[in-house]
Amino acid sequence: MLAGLVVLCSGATPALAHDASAGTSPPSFVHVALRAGILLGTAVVAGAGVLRLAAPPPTAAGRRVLMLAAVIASVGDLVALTAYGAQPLLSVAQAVTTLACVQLMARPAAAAALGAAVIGLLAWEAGAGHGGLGLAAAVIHTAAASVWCAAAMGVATGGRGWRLALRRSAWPAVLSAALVAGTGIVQARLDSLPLSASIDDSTFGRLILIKATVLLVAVALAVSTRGRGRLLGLRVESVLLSVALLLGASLAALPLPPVPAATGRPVLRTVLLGATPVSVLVTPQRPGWNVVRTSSPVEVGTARGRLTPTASKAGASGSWARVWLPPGAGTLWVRSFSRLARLPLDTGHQAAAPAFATPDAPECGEATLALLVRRGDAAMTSCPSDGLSAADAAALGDLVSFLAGRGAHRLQLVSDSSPRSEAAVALVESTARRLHLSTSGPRPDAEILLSGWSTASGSLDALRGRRIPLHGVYLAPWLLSAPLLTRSSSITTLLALPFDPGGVGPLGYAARLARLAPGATPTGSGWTAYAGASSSPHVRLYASALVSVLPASLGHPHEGAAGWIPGGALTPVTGQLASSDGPRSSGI
Amino acid sequence: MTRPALLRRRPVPYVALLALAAGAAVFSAAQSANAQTTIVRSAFKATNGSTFTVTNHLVRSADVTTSAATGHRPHEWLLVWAGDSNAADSTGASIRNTPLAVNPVRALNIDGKDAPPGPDFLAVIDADRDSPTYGKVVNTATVGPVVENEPHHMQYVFHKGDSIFAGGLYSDVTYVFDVKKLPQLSLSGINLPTDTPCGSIPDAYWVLKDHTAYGTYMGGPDVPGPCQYTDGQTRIGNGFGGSPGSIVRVGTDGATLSETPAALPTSEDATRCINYPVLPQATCANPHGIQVREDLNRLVASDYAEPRNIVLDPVKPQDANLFRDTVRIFDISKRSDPKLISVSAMPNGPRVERNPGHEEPRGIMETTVTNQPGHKGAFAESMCGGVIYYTPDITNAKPVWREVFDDTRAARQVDPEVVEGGGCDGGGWLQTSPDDRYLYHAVIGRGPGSLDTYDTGSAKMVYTLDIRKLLAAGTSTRCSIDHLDEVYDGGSESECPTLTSVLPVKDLTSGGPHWGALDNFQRGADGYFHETEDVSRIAISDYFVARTGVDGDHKVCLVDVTSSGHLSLDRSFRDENEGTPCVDFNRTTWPHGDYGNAKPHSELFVVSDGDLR
Repeated sequence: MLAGLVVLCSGATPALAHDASAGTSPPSFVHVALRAGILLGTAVVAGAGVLRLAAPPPTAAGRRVLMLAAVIASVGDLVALTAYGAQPLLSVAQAVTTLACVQLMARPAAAAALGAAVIGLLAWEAGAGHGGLGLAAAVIHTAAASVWCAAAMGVATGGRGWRLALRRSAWPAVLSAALVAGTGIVQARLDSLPLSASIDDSTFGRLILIKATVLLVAVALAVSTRGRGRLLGLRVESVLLSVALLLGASLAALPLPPVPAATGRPVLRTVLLGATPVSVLVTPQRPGWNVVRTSSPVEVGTARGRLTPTASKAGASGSWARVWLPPGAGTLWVRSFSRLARLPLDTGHQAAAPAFATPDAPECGEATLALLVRRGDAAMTSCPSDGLSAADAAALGDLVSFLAGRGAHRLQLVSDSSPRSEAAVALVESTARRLHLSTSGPRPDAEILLSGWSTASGSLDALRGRRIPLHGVYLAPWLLSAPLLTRSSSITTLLALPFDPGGVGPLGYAARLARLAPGATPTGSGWTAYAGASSSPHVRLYASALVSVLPASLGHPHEGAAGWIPGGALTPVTGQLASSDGPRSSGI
Repeated sequence: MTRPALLRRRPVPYVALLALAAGAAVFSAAQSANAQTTIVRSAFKATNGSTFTVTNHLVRSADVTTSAATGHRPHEWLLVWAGDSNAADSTGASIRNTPLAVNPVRALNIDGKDAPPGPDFLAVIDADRDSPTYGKVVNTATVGPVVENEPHHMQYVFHKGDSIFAGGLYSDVTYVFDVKKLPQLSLSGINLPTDTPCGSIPDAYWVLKDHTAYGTYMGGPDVPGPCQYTDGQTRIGNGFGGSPGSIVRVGTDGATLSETPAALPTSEDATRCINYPVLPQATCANPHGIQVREDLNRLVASDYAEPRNIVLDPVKPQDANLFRDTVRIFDISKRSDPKLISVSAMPNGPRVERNPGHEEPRGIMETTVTNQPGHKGAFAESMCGGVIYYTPDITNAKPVWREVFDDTRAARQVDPEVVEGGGCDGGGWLQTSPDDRYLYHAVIGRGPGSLDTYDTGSAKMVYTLDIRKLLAAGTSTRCSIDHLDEVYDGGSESECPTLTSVLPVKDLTSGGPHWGALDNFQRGADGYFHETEDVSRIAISDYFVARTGVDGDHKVCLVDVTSSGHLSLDRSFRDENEGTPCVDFNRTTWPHGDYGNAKPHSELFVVSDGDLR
């Protein structure tokens, strides 16, 4: 439905490229008004300038309108320059050219040249970031829409000459409309406008509906007055087109409407609680226990009167809550104080995986984010804690071999009841037995955490302030998670990893995750989900430490930097570990 | 078929429209093209068998080493060790709070350019004042395959025949670059974390006359537990980024020639030298700054901090003693077997700070030795204490260190009403002039509000002290900042250092000038360069470590120095894109591609051997 409206509504609107941030933050009224003023004023003046090649000079009323439009646009440019840090050269050039175009309206060639220049500037802004195709579409779209708008204004304020010109321009008008619609679609696609979005529950959608109505009325009016050049009708048409233009300009500053959730698949959306955007992940979005991750603490639930507060969970970024979802279509309510937002859901009828009812659910949620980063879609039928992967098993075996090589004698294992942890303990114990290491008894000289995030977090907390085992504390690969590793700055934790977090792929995952879900940090489980099931024979030991070599009083608070270990390092400290089945050499 | 009326009569608008669209598309394509560069790659196989590379991206239009009239033209370069700025340097808050753009505000160099990790690099900048490309980046030598090294320090001064030793703070890797064919570089050595198992977090380097180098490894052994050094000694460490650090001698091929414990075999003062987790033998050994007097067989290293523990912990209260107050002196008669002969705690000064971490001796980041044969002294400075210490004789088994200058005296020059001018003001680079007349010091400064809402901040600056009288007094000096008046007024003893010049640095970021390098070269009448003791300019860089919360404006500037020690910004050393003084490392495009902003931590004036007489 939205696709059709986009085609319809792209008319008479220099549909500027969407703000990169528009999807996450609501624009201020001043912002929208400023943008609309600049666009409308500039487009009218630019179109009138170009039309001077085919139409008589504007009447006194037309000149007044043009001057008003130029002043609004130019002042807007300068306000944008000073208040919003606009590019100085573009802003000043646009303001000067727009004013000069009005001043030289009596000279057709000069006015047309300046009008074309203004259109070029507008198009450059509209197509920024989209490459050659986007820029070409923007030029055509902006020029055609500007000419259309200026023609309407000219006819509305002009004399007989303008109305005669209008009668001659039926075909060009059709061509312009077609160009505007076609390039509007191109721009909409380049802006990733979600064509499957619903329009009834977003400001964006409601504005499109209004704009479509306005344009339909304008078209109907144009058809009814066709050839007769009735002044009143033309003026009303002109006003309607201007309103459509203003609405279009506002659209470019509004967040895109949310795409409806796919049935039975995790959904990640940004909802607005008043002026505050909140990122919401619902996974697996299937009947049963689900987890909801929010970018800040809020309350969530399926019944408005019984909402559950989200809270931080060990090892995971963001805030979390467990929510029971019924089969089929439903709604998740999100509330912060008196601000309320709704997120439409469709859980389908396939039950959620059992792991979502366990303390390992946040880890599964982080893995969901990784899949969404990679593919934009995911089907969470299982969780990382459901089993021990071959790659992680190899890493743990090599780790035990490494510790034996270091001279460790007694290992302390920390585990929980998840299938993965139980399998890991069995593997470590059997490897240790083979290498003549003990896994029980007092005074262990190395500790290995094989549990999920929740239990591991408690174990790391317990290490604070006491002497750690001589050979250190080692974490299973799935415990690579910044919130877990940075719980205490005073312990260097070591991980045997079957991948290189400093490699191009993992760093790319970290960067993409930071963009998709600001504040989220990459995790070992996330990378495994992101990269797929491929296991690596290369296992190395990595040291994780906060290396913030300045006191907080000199530095500024640095909350939530993106990367594997915000404010710290994850550094390989051995070469490839010898296989637990092979000779017992190590990199140290 | 009939043509539309308006098209028949006035085809101009539509022809112009199509031309405009086509032109825009072409212009857009041209914009995305990179500068024309020549790619030259060199590789080196590390001890673990992996191949490391350096890839030169030489700007063709900046070939200034030859001229039609004279053939080869000797040249001087400024090498800057810089890291790619990427998403990991941004905070979640800064991403969320990205301001909405009202077109035409969209800044193409900001939108998404810095998200993915790019390669770190050694930038080669034309530092020849008479060159047409003065101030231009003529080559970026990118390193691979490791990214996010957090490029940190190189050696302090370059001499003929030296290689460049450059460390990655987070990657724990030392790169060795051959600079005999500048502006082209090649990789001549790699030192991996596994080559220095008893130390981590490499910081600074000093190159010896045989062109090997000593490096300070500030953090503890890679893996907790006992670690055996190359001299057979063993220390128990608490792991990567912990304690104790080590002194590593690195060969020109990157090989570890020796790794020496920075810690004593016995416990140091356990109340002053705290370690987390607790070690059986307490130690303050976290060496950061390093300088050497080969003629005296002495190596001086200053302890800064146990690096991984200098953060606010929600449970463990921050302890000021994590900022070390010690300087270590080694006997290097046997170059590959340094012997630790003294560990000196810097004395407390007259200031009474509310925050114990701001007391004078906290965080001895840098040290610098005197250079002339008649002098045996050395200086040290505290980053969080904001003062300078001096000992007149580093060969003394029990050297006497005194505070001789408080940064407050220099900050007063910029803001006479400064409050807590030295308290955690971020003192960094400290360097004597080769002729021992002056002492240069870079201070990051404190932005307003750093301490609390009442804090008006402290100056971001570089200053010069005249140290001639102090050095002339020899071991009989009594200069000491031991009265509160001397904090603001300078030392009252006649031989105390006097403030010669202060260059304020305008910077609204969280950082300020952290590092510098002096230009020890001068073009002679023969057209070639010669080493000089008469320093006429220095370079400064404005970046610390973004992930600590102290960033900087990422500019590298040249500063003219008169014979009387006066400092002034070289306004002819300009950014090739902005046309304004200083080279801005915040830019969209580099010779190696559109990788966006970069973080310049340290710099060095270098002349290739063939151009140096």
